[in-house]
Amino acid sequence: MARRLTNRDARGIDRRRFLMGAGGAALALPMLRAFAPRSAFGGGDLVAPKRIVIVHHFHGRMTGGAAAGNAVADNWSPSGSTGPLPATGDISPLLASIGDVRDRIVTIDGVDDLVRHMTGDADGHRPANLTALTCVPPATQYTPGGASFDYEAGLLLRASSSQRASIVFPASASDPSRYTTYPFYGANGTPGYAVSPSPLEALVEVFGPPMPAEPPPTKTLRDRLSGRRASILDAVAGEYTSLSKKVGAEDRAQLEQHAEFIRTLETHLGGSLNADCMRPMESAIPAFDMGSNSNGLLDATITPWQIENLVMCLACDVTRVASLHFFQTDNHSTFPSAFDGASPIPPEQLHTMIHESDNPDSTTAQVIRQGFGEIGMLYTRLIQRLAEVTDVDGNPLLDNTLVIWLSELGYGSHFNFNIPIVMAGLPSAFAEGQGRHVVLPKRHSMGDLFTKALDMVGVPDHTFGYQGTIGDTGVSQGAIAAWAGYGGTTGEAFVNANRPLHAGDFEI
Amino acid sequence: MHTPLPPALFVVSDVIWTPVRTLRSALALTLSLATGCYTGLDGRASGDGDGDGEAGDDGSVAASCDPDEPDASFRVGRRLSRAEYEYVIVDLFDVVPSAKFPGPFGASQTGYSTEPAVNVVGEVGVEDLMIAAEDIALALPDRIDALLPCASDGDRACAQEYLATIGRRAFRRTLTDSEREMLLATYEAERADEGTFPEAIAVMTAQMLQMPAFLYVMEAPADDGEARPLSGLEVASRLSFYLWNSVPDDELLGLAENGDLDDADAVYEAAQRMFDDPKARRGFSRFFREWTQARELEVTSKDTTLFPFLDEALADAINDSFERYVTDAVRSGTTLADLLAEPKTIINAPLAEFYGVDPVDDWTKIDLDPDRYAGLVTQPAVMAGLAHATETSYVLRGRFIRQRLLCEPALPPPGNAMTAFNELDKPEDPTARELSDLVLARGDCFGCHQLIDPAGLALEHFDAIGRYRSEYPSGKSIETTDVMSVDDDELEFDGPIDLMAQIALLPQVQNCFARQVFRYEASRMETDDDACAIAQLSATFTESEGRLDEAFLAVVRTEAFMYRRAD
Repeated sequence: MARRLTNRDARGIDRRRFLMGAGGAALALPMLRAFAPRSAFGGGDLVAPKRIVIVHHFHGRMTGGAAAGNAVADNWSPSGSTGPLPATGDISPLLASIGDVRDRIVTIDGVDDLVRHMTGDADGHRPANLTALTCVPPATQYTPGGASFDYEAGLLLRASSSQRASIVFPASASDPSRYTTYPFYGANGTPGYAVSPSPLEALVEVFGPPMPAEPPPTKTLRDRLSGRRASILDAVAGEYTSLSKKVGAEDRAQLEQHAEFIRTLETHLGGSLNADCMRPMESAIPAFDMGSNSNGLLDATITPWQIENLVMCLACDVTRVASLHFFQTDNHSTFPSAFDGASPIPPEQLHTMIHESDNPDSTTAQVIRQGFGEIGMLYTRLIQRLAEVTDVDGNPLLDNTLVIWLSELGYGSHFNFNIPIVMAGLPSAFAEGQGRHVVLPKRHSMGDLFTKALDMVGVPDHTFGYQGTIGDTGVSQGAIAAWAGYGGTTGEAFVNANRPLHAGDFEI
Repeated sequence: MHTPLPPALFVVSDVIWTPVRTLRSALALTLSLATGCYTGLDGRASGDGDGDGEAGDDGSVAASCDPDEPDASFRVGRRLSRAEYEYVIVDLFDVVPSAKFPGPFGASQTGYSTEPAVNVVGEVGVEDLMIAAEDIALALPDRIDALLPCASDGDRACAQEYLATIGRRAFRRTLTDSEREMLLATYEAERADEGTFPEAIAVMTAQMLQMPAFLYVMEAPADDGEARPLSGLEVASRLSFYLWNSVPDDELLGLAENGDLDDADAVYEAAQRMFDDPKARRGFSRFFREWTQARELEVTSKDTTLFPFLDEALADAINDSFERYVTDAVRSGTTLADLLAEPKTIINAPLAEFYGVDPVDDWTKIDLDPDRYAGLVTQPAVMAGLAHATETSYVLRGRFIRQRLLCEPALPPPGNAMTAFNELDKPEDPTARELSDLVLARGDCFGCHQLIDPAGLALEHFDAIGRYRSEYPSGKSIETTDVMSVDDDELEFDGPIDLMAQIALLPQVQNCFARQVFRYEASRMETDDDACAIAQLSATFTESEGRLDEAFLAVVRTEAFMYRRAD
């Protein structure tokens, strides 16, 4: 198993220097000009912005699906009914590796990628990749009809137009030339913005070039003024507070508001509050041979550094929507860390094995389940790291971040129902608490899920995805039924031309 | 010596500068922005005739003020205005002021840029103030030797001297021990970090220029129900910002600290010295600009295809002429009536050509054609300020007469004003009067425009850059004979000269001017509590037969200038 990173490993250089530097200055200004978190009038705590993290792996539940529509027959669902997750032991065979964060998650059954059925494309994967996160019919057989949820959510959450809406962090450090961003898409269905699969390269892409090892020999006056900003603002704010006690009520209000704005400015210049915003340190990141990782041999070692980049991106407000993309689970992963270095999964055979795992009790399915533990371990690392980092309001970053772990398929054999959904973070948005499994009383689409997610992060009344019925694009009923491939409540009777893409709100 | 930037001018309605291509659209825009008409028959703001006294025949208020009770008023603290900041920076450091310092925003009730509400600091404003302070700091090292005779010593004692001189003026008082120690700590930190003396002073200055003692003009509160006499330092601050738009000089601060500004006579004597100082031109200029809304003319604000002769030299000349003209009028003891009626101006070579008079080599005071020009209102700076990019605005000009000369209150125009104007069936190349007739024919427009239009139409001989014209470019004639109602009187006039000559003699105008000076100094509208101060100002003004200099100086003689009461 990969060595767990500690704060000491990830600690970067001095925060103030970081924010002063060439790359840092470029960061400071967007933050400064942004719709900065506003404190309550009269000097209350700062309000942190809401973030979203999307975690994506391919092939859904990977195993199971033969007993179509019966969630119990797969290895992913913790239970066939709504209720608390097991307090001890494995949450489920597939989710055994995320037990350490069970109290922070909510697993959800009952979500389908219905938009997939609006295309006549018979391919098992392509339509899913084009629709699961966009929730709109594809523009062509190979191009999506719009941006994916992470991008659209980022446009709604970002502080200003100068802040990137969404950043995709490839979790799998594959050969960069082999990396593609699907199912993440940007404006107008263009490829989503992704950084390099190499954490070292991604670090520079996101945070700019590193600061010099030593301070420059001679500071200019401008350097000195920049370097003193935080301390000057801190002192000046105190003067406003002090003077406000000596004047009349109306004058006091002016001065107190001025002091409040100074505190906000101070915060965004690397002031006293978000001490955990740090540029990860290059020297701490091992020099990985990216070329030797084509089958995920080093994924478990490399990915934690990419997770660190992602978390610090959020902490430093570089973006408010970030995605962890387990790209290699498409076909390349062999999950060696889950097998103590000796994976029984042959290179480039993962996809085939998944198709051979419809029976969740098969030997192949068992191998898949065990390998999947590597994904779970890295997911756990992400959640724990978000919980460790302090946000601008003094709370854990995880408290202000909604993490949605999902896939483009429900089951590996091209089934688009029962997309495995794990939500975590943002505990205030879960009225019934976390540490639970939810089986939705009626089925909902991915569009409903993302609409719900927006509501949870404070963007209500914003329906995400195509609004209409499955039959709006004219795909024949026969074709619709053929793609359904499942019976029961999600069978032909459910997936039909008249089925609306949105079933409305739901409780979790 | 750096030439100070002219004060940033604030006008009530900045959006009038949206370029419009035709008279129709220009007037449509004006109508939508005209702040409407009064509905009250007395046409007076609160405090004018609403106090204990009775309105006299001349419109002034004979207030029955209690001689045993100080006539104190309330005043809200405020941030330095953009105009004040620029002068302060020049006076303290002789460097170019930073363009990042926030300007006024929003609607000024008084029309004056020092009004507290238009100088509130917002979230972005705090950042701008920080950058502005750093801009000044960056320019300081080159000025250190000139600012600090002891700079060659480059030690803490010299830094203390800096705070005792520059800092004292910046804060309008000697720094407190805690302020001094806090700033010196910054100085010491820079020196410890191998900063040079000039650099350390610069960084300390950046801090100083963000502190409330510099940025805000605030006075200690009075106890409830009490009237508190201002301290000498508070009086010095009021005097300097009023007359100089800047901080006190060492002489004024010395008087204050020695207790020599504790009585009205001493204050008046100090005011007279400041009045005679060249810096007083700033106060006169800003007052008259903001009173008349004579925004600084810029070439880019007018359509140069229609006015190809308008270049930087002419625009600068028009602006400079206005300031020279008003400053000369105040200093020479000109009365308000003469200011409004006498056809005089001060010109240079570009303006000689503009007016079509004999060339001059340098700035020269001349008499203009009395059949065309009438004092302040027909100065090109004023006429251009009350016009659009391509054409005049009889509504803006008429509103100016009503609101700024007569102090008649205004109400916002109806929400359908623009729609109503666009629905009018307009003739080809309409004259202002033709448009006015169409507007007046609408019952829902008549009430306001019958009051506004006549005075504005009288000034149609002056085009959008204030140049005299005999007829419209279309060849249509300009009709300036009309009737204007003022209270219960009807003023029949034949042209702008006749109009201004009559307006100049109205008692309301003198009373209004006194109130405008009060508003300018106090940076707020007068209230009922100011009735005595207003009455005193008006009385002094009247006794002096309307001398402008007396009006400015009379303010500092009022008790309201020397006392304040609780919130």
